[in-house]
Amino acid sequence: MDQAVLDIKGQNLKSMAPQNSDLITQSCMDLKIYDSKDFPAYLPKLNTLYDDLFSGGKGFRAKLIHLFSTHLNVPAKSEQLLGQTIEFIHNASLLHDDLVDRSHLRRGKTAAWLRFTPEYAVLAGDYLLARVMVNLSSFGNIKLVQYTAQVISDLLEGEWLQDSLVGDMGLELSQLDRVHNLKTASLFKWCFRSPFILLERYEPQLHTTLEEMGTLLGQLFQRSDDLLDFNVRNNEGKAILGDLKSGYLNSFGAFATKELSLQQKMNLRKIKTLEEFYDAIGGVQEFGKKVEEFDELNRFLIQLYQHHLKTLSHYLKDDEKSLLGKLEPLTEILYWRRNPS
Amino acid sequence: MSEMIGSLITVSRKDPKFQDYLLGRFSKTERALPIRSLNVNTEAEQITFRVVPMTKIEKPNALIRWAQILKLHNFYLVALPIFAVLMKNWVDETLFDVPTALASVFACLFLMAAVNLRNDFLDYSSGLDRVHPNSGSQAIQKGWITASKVKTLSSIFLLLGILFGLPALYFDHQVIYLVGGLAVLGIAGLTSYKMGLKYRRWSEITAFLLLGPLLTTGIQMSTGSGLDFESIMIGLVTGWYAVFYLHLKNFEQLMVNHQADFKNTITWLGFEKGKKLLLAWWVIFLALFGIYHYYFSAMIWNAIIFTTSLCALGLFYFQLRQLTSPVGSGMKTMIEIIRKLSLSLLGLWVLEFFWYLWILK
Repeated sequence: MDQAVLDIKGQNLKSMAPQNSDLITQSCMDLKIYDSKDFPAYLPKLNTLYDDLFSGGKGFRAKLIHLFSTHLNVPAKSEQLLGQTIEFIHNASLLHDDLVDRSHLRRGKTAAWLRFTPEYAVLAGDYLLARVMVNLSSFGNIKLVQYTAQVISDLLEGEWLQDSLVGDMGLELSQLDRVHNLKTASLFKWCFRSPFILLERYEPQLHTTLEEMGTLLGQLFQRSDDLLDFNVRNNEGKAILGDLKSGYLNSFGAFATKELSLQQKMNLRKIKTLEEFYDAIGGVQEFGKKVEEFDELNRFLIQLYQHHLKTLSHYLKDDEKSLLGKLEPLTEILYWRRNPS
Repeated sequence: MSEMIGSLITVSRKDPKFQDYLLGRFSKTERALPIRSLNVNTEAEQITFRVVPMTKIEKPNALIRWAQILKLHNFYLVALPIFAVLMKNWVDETLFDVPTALASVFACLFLMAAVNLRNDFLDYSSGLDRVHPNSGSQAIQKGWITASKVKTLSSIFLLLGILFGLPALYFDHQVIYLVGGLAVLGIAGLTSYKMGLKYRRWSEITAFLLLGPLLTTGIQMSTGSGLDFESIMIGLVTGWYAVFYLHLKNFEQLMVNHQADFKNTITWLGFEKGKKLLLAWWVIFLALFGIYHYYFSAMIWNAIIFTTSLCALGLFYFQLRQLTSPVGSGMKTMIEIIRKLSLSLLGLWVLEFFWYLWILK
């Protein structure tokens, strides 16, 4: 397997946004995120594990990097570095995540910890993170190294916190937001900020705005992903109730059950079907109402994101402002999971 | 939707309009409600406000609104020690100077209001109350009152507190030492204040003295009966409890405080050691409470307090052991139970004073 397993031409985008595969991949170059040649040939098991892991991923974060890189005129080699970095971090987190959650499947295939043993999964995740540091430090931008290390640290903090919440059915949305901010949003923030850091553009206000936009997008992505678990806008046909069955109340779960008593919340652990969940919160109509309220709440986040887009325009050069038009529809894709009009 | 939300504006600390928006001075007809605060407590701070016409702001009735603005819910921290000292003197028939004592009581209540308001103002402007969704009165964040009005009100209450404190100063010159102590603590607090009194380590000492021994000895002297051991002991109990209350609050907000780089003893210790500190603080509180009762209470109350304290200790320990995460729902449940537990103990104390009054009169 010596050829690129994943390029970001966008073949897999359909599952994310039907009929919208060209939205963030226009004029896309071939970008090899993973190449087995990047890893030692004398570690065959590691290579097999990575071949398996990197095939089938959407590479959305790398596409986001590509979007920024194209409009900010980031050199191709640097773009490659950024895209690889974010995908390595993301995939390392998946290796660890699956083990922590004891998930049996990843991208429709047997999870690495089951196929190769937990020890190998941990080592493979650690190795990816180590490669990130090797690659970035060779590049020489210390601020980029420092920021990336911070993001990895946030990611792991989020993992620790999330694990401490398993079985906690009394969770509130604000508490979950804190975990998601560390776990999911940190990678989005990195995608927004790292191209500017790479270009040595360090204006604090610019980065505060980018950070906020990344946070909002990460939060929206997570909340939309959590809705899939309840079969809402589940165009991809993802398995449902996975979170609840493993004792984890996700953001929509916490929102929809916030008015239940503690005892009623504890009973949620026994739920096996969506119908049982509908019954638990007062019927299918009540469920629909909760989805609408949840969407309304998130419309506000979308409005905030759009507001920050305007702020971002103040920090972009004239020839970079075309980026704004590409960033605008991301909430449509990531939250509503639909083709932007 | 957009009409309901109002328009959004983002300002950074370097922006000349920042203070106007933050303090609510930018318009006479609109309020800027902070909805996202980033990089608080740094030069890169940036706040996104929702600008809403004042007529569109939802407010509860004036009574509830003012109770929240003044944070009446924590007035018991000052009311309890005052009540205990006054009741003790009433039972002992040593309330020699009622007008001065009453003036001192009002002075203390006004000063408490001033501290609450000033604390709210500083916590809001420093960003602390903006990153904590449930911290402070939230009255400024909800647009019920502007930050600059809170500051002005705080100064008015401070002035009233000083005015009402003058009789005690006039009739008992020794009170000047207490006032001097208060002034030193106050000035030290305000000059080094960045994050609000409760977010600096030394502030625990300040809270202990102001809601403990300094307060009770001040009230005791204002009754005209001179200083005694019992009022100091009452102060030790209430002061220790006030700091416990502070630790509990900081423990509840450990993660947010740590992420925003707000320093206090709990963030310094961390989650597990913070739990140990709370337990130790609780044990000492119960011990002080027990010592006070051993020396100054009737036998029956000694027994009641001892038994209740033992139960309270067991329950407290059990709740702390159950807690495994600083962000889960367990934290909220534990804090709620511990608050109820401590309030029940203090409630028993209040009942005890009424009992003496009923028995002796």
